[in-house]
Amino acid sequence: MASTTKKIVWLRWLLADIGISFSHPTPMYCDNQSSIQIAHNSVFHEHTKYIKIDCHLTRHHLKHGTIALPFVPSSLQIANFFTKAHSISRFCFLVSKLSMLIAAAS
Amino acid sequence: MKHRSEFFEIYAAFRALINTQHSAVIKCFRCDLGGEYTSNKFFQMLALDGTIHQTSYTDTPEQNGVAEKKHRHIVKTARSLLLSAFIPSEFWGEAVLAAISLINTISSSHSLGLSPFEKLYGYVPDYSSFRVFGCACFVLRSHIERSKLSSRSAICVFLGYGEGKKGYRCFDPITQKLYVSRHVVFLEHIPFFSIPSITHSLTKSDLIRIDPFSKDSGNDTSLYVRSICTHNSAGTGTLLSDTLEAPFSSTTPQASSEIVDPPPRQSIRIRKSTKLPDFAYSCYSSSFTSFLASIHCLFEPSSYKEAILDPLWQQAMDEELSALHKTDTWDLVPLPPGKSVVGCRWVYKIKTNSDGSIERYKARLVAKGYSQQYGMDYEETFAPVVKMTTIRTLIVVASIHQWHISQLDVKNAFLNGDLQEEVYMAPPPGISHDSGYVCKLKKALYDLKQAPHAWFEKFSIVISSLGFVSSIHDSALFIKCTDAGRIILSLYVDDMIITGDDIDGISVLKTELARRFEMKDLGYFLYFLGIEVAYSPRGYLLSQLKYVADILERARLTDNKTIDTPIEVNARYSSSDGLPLIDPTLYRSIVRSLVYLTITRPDIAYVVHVVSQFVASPTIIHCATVLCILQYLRGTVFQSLLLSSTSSLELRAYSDADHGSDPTDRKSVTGFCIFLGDSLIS
Repeated sequence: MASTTKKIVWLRWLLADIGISFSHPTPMYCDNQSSIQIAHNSVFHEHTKYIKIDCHLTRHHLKHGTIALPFVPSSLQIANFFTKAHSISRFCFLVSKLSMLIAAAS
Repeated sequence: MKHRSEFFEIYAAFRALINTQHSAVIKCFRCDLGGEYTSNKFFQMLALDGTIHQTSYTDTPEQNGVAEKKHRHIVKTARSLLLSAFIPSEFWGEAVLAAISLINTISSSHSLGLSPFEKLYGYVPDYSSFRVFGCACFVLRSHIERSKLSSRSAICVFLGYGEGKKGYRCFDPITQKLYVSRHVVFLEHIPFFSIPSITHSLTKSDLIRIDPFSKDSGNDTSLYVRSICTHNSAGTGTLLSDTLEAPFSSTTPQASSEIVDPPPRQSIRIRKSTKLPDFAYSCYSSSFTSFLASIHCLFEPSSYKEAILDPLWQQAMDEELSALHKTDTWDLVPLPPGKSVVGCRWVYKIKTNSDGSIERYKARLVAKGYSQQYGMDYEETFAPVVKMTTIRTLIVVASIHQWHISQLDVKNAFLNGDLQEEVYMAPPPGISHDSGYVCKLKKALYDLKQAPHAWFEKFSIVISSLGFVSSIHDSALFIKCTDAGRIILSLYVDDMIITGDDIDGISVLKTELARRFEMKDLGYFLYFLGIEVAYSPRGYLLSQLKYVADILERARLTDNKTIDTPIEVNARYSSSDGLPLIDPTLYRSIVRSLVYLTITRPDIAYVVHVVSQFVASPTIIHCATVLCILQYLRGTVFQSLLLSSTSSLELRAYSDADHGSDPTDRKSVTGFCIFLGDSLIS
């Protein structure tokens, strides 16, 4: 999550260089409810282990309105594609989501 | 042999044959306990020759292992010939004969890479006469069979090689006739029995309408024909392009490329008869075909001695030398004591356009930078290049804003870089010089360690003098904002793309750059860093067709299997399973190419991530995974990434982690993708 946050922040800067600026936060869809909660609420999860600078980075950008953290069910989580292997039907679904298409179709 | 009783005559004939041809005698004869081997007549003959007769025990075929193994080898080969060419099994006899002639001429590993033929006769067999078993072919009919107006050839299936005659055995299933002829034209990439049966019935009208033996077919000059005509008569190409529709044309690049392959190994030949899956064929087809065709037709010399013989390469070298003189690259000076000399050599390369046609012959003088020592000959080598994410973002932004993207290329880019250090180089072959003199380099020559750095420094200076500022977030991205608009320039070594809404500013920039460097305006954005870019009203379509084709070519896959997903579900790999590969070089180079391919193929990103973990010590299992990826790629060559022009400029990100998925170190895998509008950019 933190690495994605970093990338988003970088891209926002880069796009600002190109001349596009954003007024509202970038949604970062995540299928893990608890990590969203941890990012939102610093008090409630004091007993959660392994919270390091990464979490604080995410929380910082969340507070400052750079990112937002909406929940997305795992079945619609596109980034799933980059973390594990998939069955054929799911694979095809995800490929279509990536706006990949056969050259012939266009 | 129809009956076992014929064995005796066959043995006698074989004995006589090897006696006369090779003056050898049979010293020992081993067989099983078949009745034909144990007849008295046969014993007498063996006794007369002084041949030892050995037999195996009953029910112990292991003792006759050599013969049994040979049988299995022959039957296996024949079976694969039949299956790969979809030939019905009644042709087994022909298949076995063809298999034997193949086995005898293919080099085998246990005889030190010699083929049985070579071992026996002492010279290399003539591979050029081999054809793909079961392929379609046209046999010229004899004078008796044809009348003046009937078709002159018959479409047949190729079944083997004539025995005792120089010719090919071909069977015509319509007239049920076996021809042995040398007037045969082959369509090696089309297995005869894969032609739909409708076409068989059309034979008389359609297929033969374009008779490969007729003279007028020779003037077809389509690209494909040119590549294939080195081997076959031009008629082949005509037939393909005219009668066989899209599905077959997808096999064309494969086949034509292999025909001109220099070492005609038989394994390759057999593979040719299988067929690529049918793609819906797009506008790419012609360019794709010509890519492959041209890649194979061209020859690049590897040394100065070879190149100097060819006027085309001579001219290329002259051009390079004059460019070097123009940029004032070196001074000839005597070598000062205590300085080391860097060697140099010529590198030859044929440059192709994005459609595969030859752009130019390029000779380049490179320094042997690997012999340089840090601190002595060079200090700083780092040079930034623009990130791929930045390029994709640029393209999306440009396509949404309808900005024009143009692409420029700096000729001899590195030669523009000024050298800070003193470097001495041996004079290259091809220029006259006094002995004892060496070249003191003033400009960065290719392959010097510091060349990219020197070039980037130089370019930054020039571009900042034009009012551009390097972005702090990607230092190879230069931006100029004025009242008239915005110009964005991204530099990837010597290729750059320029876009923006200040059209006048861009043209001023182009002329300015052309004044400083020797530039080439490649015009519209079509082919950048091996990525083909197609523009449609819906957006830019990025693909790496040529790159995929090159990888597949390099990997030399021997089958044409395709699969639907690049990796199995729940597959877990660790560095310790399987036997380590003996030579991991190919693995590494292919994985490296695959990593570059993920630019336009995010669908293989995860698998490539997996296999690239093991480049240090790849094993057979990892190699199999790479093969799976390649097979997947083969089925999906035409997948490309659409950067939509109609979407909004909203950033969206997805983030996911697979906690502790790595079986060895329990590290988690994090994946994310960021969309700008509908387009994937990171």
